[in-house]
Amino acid sequence: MTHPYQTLPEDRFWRTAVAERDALEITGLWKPKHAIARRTRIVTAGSCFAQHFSRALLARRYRWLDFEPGPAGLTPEQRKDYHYGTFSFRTGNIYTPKMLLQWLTWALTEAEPPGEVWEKDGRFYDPFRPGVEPGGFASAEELWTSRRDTLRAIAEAVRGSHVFVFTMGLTEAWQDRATGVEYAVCPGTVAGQFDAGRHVFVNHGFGALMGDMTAALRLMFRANRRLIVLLTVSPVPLTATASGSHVLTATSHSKSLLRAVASELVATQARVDYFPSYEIITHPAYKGRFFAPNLRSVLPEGVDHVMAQFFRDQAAAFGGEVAVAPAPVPAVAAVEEVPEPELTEAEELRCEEEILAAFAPGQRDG
Amino acid sequence: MADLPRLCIFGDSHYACLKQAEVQGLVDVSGVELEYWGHVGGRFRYLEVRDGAVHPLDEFTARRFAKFNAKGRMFLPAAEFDVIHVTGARVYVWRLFHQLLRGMAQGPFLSSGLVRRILTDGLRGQAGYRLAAGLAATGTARVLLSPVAYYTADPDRFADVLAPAIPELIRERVPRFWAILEEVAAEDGIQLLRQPEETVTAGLFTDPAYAVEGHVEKRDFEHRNAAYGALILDRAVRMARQGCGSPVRSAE
Repeated sequence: MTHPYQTLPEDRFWRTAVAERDALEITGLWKPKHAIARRTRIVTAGSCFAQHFSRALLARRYRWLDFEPGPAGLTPEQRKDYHYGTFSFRTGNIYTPKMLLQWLTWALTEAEPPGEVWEKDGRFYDPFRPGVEPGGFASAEELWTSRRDTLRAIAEAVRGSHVFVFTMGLTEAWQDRATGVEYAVCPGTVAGQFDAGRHVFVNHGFGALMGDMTAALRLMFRANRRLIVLLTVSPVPLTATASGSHVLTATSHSKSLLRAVASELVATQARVDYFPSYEIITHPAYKGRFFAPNLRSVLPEGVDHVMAQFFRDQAAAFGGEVAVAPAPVPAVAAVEEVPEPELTEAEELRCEEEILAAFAPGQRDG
Repeated sequence: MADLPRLCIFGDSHYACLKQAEVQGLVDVSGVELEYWGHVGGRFRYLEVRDGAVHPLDEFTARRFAKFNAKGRMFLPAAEFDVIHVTGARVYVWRLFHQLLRGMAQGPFLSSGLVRRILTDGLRGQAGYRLAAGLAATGTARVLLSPVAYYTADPDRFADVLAPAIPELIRERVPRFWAILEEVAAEDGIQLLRQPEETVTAGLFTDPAYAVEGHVEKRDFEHRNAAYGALILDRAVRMARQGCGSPVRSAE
C-alpha cells in the first residue's frame, strides 16, 4: 500500500460519490450506529423539521410514540391546531439544547419550572411553549395544569422509548437575565412584554451548546439506560437574527455550530448518532432543489427524499426491507365533513311512527 | 290573518311532539300563523340551503316533506316566515357534552379553549345545524334552534355515564357548555334554546315523564311526548308573538 487513500471505497471520493452522480443517486450518507426497526419505540422532539420525522415514521408503520395525544375524541384538525401529535409531547418546538435541557430538568428532576406566565389581552401564554394553545389559556392555573401533563409526558417518553430523535434548530435565544432561564421565543413577539433590562439575547457558542447537550444526554441516559439518541440539525434557515450579523451568515454560524456539536457527540458517545438530513436538504450538491422559492421552507419532496435515505441507510447497515413507499395518509376531516351516525332501520321506523302519530294518525296502522 | 307572525316548526321526528301538543290543545297557538315542515332525520341528508330556502335534493325527499305540511310545500323559503323554529333536526348536544365530561373525568387536562373549540366544531359540524345557519344567513326569518333533548333517563342503559366524577362535573360544567353553544349559535344568527330545566333529571337526562309512551318497551329513549312538545311549542309561539322579524346576528 502506497498511501491510505488507495483502498478507500468510492463514497470517500468527491468525484465518484458526488460529482459524477445525479444528486438523487447520492447514497450512503449515513452509517447508522444502531438498528431502528418497525418495533423500535421512537419519540421525536426539537425544531420544526422534527415533525416530518414522526409523519414519515407513521406513514411507514414504524412505532412512533405520542406520549401526550391529548383528550380522546379530538378531530385531526383540533389535534393539529392544539399541537397534539406534532411531537411526542406537547412542548411545541424546542429550538436549542438549552431548552431541551430545561424541559428534561423539569420533567426528570425535582426542579420546578419558573412561575412566569405571559399575558396578552387577558389570556395567558406559556413562555416555554407559547404557541401550543391557540388564543392562550384562560388562566395561569390552566397553563400550569396543562404544563404538568406535558412534563409527565416528557418523563414517560424518555423512560419508555428506545430512540429519542432530537432536531437541533437554533443557537440564538432569549433568556431571563437574572435566572438564565431560556424562552421559546423573544418576549413580546407572541405574547408577554419585552423588557430590555430583564431579557437578554444569547447566541450560544460551541462550549455552551456542548455543555447543554451533554447535560441533557446525561439526564436522559440516567432515566433510561437503553436509550439511543439520534440527533439531526434542522435545515430551515433562521427567520430572523438578533446577532447583529446578516441573517444568511447568522444562519451559517448557527447551523455550523449545531452540526459540529452533533459530530462531537457522535464521536464521544456510543449511544448518540447523527442523521444528515441537514446535508441532504442544504448541500450545494442538491442545488437547493428541496427548498421552496423562499429558500427557507422545505418542500415535501425534500422530506420524502430525506426519509427515503433514512430507511435505505438503515436497511444497508442492518439488512431488511427498505421502507421507502409511504402509506397513504388519511385525509383530514374538515368541519363540514363530521360524520353523523346513520339511523338504524329500527330508529328510522320509530321516527316515522312519531310523525305519523302526530300528523296522520289514521295512517299509523296502514 | 296576514298580519299574524308566521311561525314554522322545522324539524325531524322530534318535531312531532310539538304537533301532538297543538292537537291536544296543550298550547295556545292563537296569534301566530303556525306551519310545520319536516320529516324523519334520515332524510335530512338530502337537504341543502340554496337561494334562501331549504331545498330537498331529490323529488322523493321533497314529496316526503310536503306530505306533512299543510300547504304541501316542497321546499322551505326563509323569507315566507317571521320565525323558523328548528326542532331536533339531528342536532345533538348530549354526545358533545358527554364526550367533554368523560374527558374531564378521565384526563388528560382539557383547557377551556379546547372545550370551546370542541363545542364549536361539534355544533357547526352537524348537518342540521348548518341548515339552521343557512336559514339564518338569509337575514329574513328569525331562527330559533332547540337541539334534540337529552336521552331519557334509564339507570341500566346509562350506568357508565354516571361514573363517580361525572355528576359533579355535570353540575359544574354543563351550564357553561350551554352558554358556549348559545354564543356560537348567536355568531351564526341563531338563537339556541336550552332544554327546559324542568324536563332535565340528573343533569344530563330527560325526565321519563316526558318520554314517549312505552319508551322502555319500544327502547325509544329519544322521542318525547306531547307534554314536552308543549313546553317547546309554547316557548316558540311566545317568541314568535314577541319578536317577529328580528333576526339574531350578534357578532358582526
